[in-house]
Amino acid sequence: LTPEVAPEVVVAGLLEERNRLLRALRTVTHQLISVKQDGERRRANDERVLARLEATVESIAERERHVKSSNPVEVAFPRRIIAFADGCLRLGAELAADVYLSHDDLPLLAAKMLRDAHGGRIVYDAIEIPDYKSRSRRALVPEVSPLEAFLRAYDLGILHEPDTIMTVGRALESHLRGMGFHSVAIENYRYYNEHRPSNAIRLACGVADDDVLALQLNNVYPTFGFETILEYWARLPSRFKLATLGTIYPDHYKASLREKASELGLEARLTLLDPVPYDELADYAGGADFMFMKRTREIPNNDMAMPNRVFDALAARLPICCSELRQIKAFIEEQGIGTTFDPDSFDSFAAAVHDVADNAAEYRARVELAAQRCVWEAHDERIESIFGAGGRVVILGMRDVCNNRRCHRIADTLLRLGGQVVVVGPEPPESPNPAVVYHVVDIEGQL
Amino acid sequence: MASPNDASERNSAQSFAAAQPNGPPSAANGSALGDLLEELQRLRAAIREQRAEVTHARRLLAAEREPYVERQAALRDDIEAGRARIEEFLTTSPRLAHLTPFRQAFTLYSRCAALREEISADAYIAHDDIPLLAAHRLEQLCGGSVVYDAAEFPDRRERFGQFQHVWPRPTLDLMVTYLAPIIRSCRFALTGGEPIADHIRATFGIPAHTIYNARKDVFDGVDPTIRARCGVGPNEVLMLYVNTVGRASLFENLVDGLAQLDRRHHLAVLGNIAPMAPELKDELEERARQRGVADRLHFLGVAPYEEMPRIASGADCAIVAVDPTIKNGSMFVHNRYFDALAAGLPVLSSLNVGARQVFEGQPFYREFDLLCPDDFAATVATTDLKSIRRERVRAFARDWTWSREVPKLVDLFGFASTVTILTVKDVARHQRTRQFAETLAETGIGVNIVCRRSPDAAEPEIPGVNWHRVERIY
Repeated sequence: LTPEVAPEVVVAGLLEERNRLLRALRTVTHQLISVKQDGERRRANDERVLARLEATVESIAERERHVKSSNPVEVAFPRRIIAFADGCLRLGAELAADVYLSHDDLPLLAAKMLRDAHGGRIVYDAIEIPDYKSRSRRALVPEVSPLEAFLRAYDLGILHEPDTIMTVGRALESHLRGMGFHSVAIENYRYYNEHRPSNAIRLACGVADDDVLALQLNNVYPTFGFETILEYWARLPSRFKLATLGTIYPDHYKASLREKASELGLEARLTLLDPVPYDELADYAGGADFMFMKRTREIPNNDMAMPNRVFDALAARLPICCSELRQIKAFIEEQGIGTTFDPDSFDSFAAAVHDVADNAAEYRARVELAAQRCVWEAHDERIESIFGAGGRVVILGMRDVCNNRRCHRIADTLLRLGGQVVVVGPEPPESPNPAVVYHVVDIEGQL
Repeated sequence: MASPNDASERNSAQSFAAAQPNGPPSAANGSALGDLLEELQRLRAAIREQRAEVTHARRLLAAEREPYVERQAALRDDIEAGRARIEEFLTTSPRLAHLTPFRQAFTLYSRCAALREEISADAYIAHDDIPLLAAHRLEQLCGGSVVYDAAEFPDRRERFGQFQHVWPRPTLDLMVTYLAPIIRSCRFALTGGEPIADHIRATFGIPAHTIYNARKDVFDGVDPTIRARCGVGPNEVLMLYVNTVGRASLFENLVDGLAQLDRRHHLAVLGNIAPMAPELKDELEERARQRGVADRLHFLGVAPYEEMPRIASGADCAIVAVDPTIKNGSMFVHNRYFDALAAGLPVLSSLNVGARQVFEGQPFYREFDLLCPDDFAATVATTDLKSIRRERVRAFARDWTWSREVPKLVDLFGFASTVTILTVKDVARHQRTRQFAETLAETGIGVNIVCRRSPDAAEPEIPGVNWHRVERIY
C-alpha cells in the first residue's frame, strides 16, 4: 500500500485480483476434473481398442490356421479349374481324342488345353445357364462377388472355344443364342420304359383310391419355400394329399416341416418319403396321381432349366402341375401334359391342382404319348451329328460325371455308334460300364 | 463421496463467501482489508495445490495407460506379423502360390467395391492385368471406362518365367482366358513398346498407345566412382548390366562372352539377384571362375532409382539383356534403356524390336544375339565404345525424357476429369504409376490411387493425389 494510491483504488485492485484468482482456481479445478474424466474415457477407450485388437489377432490366427490346413474358399473356383486341367494334362496321351466333351463350363479350360496338345474338337454341354450367379438364390441380390465376376469373365473368354455347343432345352438354347452362340438341344430324356405302376406309394401314404395324391419329386431345401405350399395345401379339400419323394435337408428342416404340417392340420395329408433307387422310381412314383413341382422363377437357371424330374414324371406317366417356369411351361403346354400356376396366387394354384385332378384321364393319355416320343433313343441322330460316329470321345466333368445319368446315356449312345469313351471326373463310378475307361482327377488335381 | 477437487472448489467458494458477508470492505475497515489479503494468499495456495494435483493426476494416468499402450503396440505387431505370415504362406506355398494373381485380383475387387463412392472416376487405369477385374467392376457400378496399362506383355505365358515356371501350366491359360474379355471391353490400352501396342490392337481389337517409361532427367556428368569400385582403369572397358539378374537374363551367356574378350573388358551388375533364383549368384560366380573371368565380373548390388544415372555414368556402356525368345523381353522397351540414356551410356542390347524402333540409326545402339555368347563378344569387340561421344547420347536422351510422353498422356485422358489408378504393386517402387499420377494431377485431373502400402520404402508424396492404400493384398 502506498500513500499515493487512494485506498478505494487499492481495495478495488485487490478485489479484482481476488476475482482473477477465483477464476483461475475454477479453471484449474475444472482441469483436474477434466483430467480425471479424460482418464476414465481413455481407459474405456483403451479397453475397447484392446478388445478389438485381440479379436483381430484371433481372427488372423484363425485365418492362418484355415489357410494352412485347407484351401482358401475365395479362390476355390480358379483352384479347381487349374487343378482339374493340370490333372488332365498329366494323363498325357491317355486323353488324346477326337472330341472332348465338357460337362458344364468349368472343364472347358482342360478341354481347350487337351485340344491344343492333341488336336480334336470341343463339345460344350451347357447343362445349366453359364453364369453361376444366375444359378442360385445369389441371383436375387445385386452384389456380385469377386468369384462371380471372375466366372462371368471366364465364361465370356472360354465359350468361344467349343466347336459345338449342346444344351438341355429350348430356353437355354435361346439364352445361348442371345449370347451369340448356336447350340443344339439334347433334352434329358430317359430311355423308353413300359408303364408298370405300383400301389406301394399309396399304401405308404395311407391314401384311398378316391383321394388325389400329388407327388413332389424333388429334394426339398429350406430355400425352396415349401412352407407356402403347405399353407396352400391346407386350404384345398381334404381329398388332396401330398407326398415328397427325395431328400429333405438339413435334418432339422424335416422336423420343422412336420411341425408346420401339424400346425396346419395336415399330418394325415402330408407324407415325407425317403428316396427310392433310380431304377424303381418310375414304377413307384407311378402310383401317384400327378407330379407337383414348385421352384423360384426369379432364379434365371430355374426358369430355363429342363430338370430330369420332368422326364421322371413322364416315365411314371404322371401329369405335371408346376409353378410357372419358362422352359417347363413351354414343354408342358407343347405336349399337353399338365398345367402351371402362379406361385404367388392361391387361386391360380388351386385352379391348377383341380385342373390336373379333374382332367386326369385326358392328361394321362397325352402323357403316354409324350413318354413314347420323348425318349433318349430319339437323340441318336443328333448325337451322331455332334460327335460323329466311331471316334474317341473324352467326357470331362468336375462334378460327379462318372455317375451322372446324362453322361451315362451319352456314353451308351456313343458306344452303340461304334465309338470309344473315356470319362474323367472327381469320383470313381459306382456301377462302371466295362466298355468305358474311367480316370479320376480329384479336386486337388491328383490322379 | 466428494472428490478432492469438489473439496477444493468448496473451500475456495467458502473463502469467497467469507470475504463477502458485509459487502466490499471499506478503507476504514483495516481488518477486512487484512482478511482480503489473507484470502488472496489462501486462493494462491489453493491454486498451487490444485495445479500440483493436476500434474500428479496426469502422471498417474500416463502411468496407468502405459501397460495398455504397450499391449496395444504388441497386438498391432502381432497382427502385422500374422498378416505377413499368411501372405508369405499364400505366395510361397507350393499348393497355393500359383493362385496369388487370382487372390490379389479378388481382394482388390472387394476393396474397390467397398471404396466405390470415394474412388468413382471417369477412367480407371488398371496398372498391369491383375486390377482389371476390379476396374471392370467399378465401371459397372459407377460408370466411366477402363484403361488397361499393359505395363508388361498381356499374355503372361510370354513374360519372364521366374515365378510362372513353377506353377501348374493351366494357371496362365486361365488368366489369359478370363482377362481377354475384360481387355476387349477396355476403352484403350497403354503399353511400353510399339510392338506390344500392335499385338494388343490385333488380339483384342482395342486402340493401344505407347507411353515409354522414360526418365524425367538426364545426368550430365561422369562419376568415376563405379570404376574405382570395380578396380577398372581408364583404359579398360567397363560394361554395366543394370537390372535384376534372373533366369531370363541368360546372364551365363554374357559370362561366356566375357571370357572371349581380352582382359581389358569387365562386366559389372548394378542390381539384385532375383529372389526366386537366389542360387544364381553362386552359379554365375562359379562359371566365371571356371572361365577365368572371376576377377572381371563384379556384383555391385542395387542402386536407388534416383541415384542410378549418376552411379552408372562412370561405365563405358550399358548392357540390356533379356531372353529374346520371351515376347515381353523382345518387345517391351524396358526401363533399363532409359536408365542407360539418362546415364549417357551407349547401349548394347539383346534383340528387341521395340527398342530398335526407338534407337533406329543411332550409332550408340547395337544389338547382339543373347543366345550366342560368341555374338556378344564379337559385338563388344567390334564396337569402339571409347570413341562414342557421350554428348551425342545425351542429346538423344534429352529428346527421350518423360516430358516427351506428357502431351500424349494428357491428350489420351482429355475425356476425364477424374482418374483412379489401380495397382497391386508397391507404387513407391514403380516409377510408371507415379509418373502417370503426377502428370495427370498436374493437368488438373483428380487422381486417386488404390495400391498396396509400401512395406519398406518411403511413400511417395504426390500433390493432388488421393491415396487409398490397401494394407495387404492376400
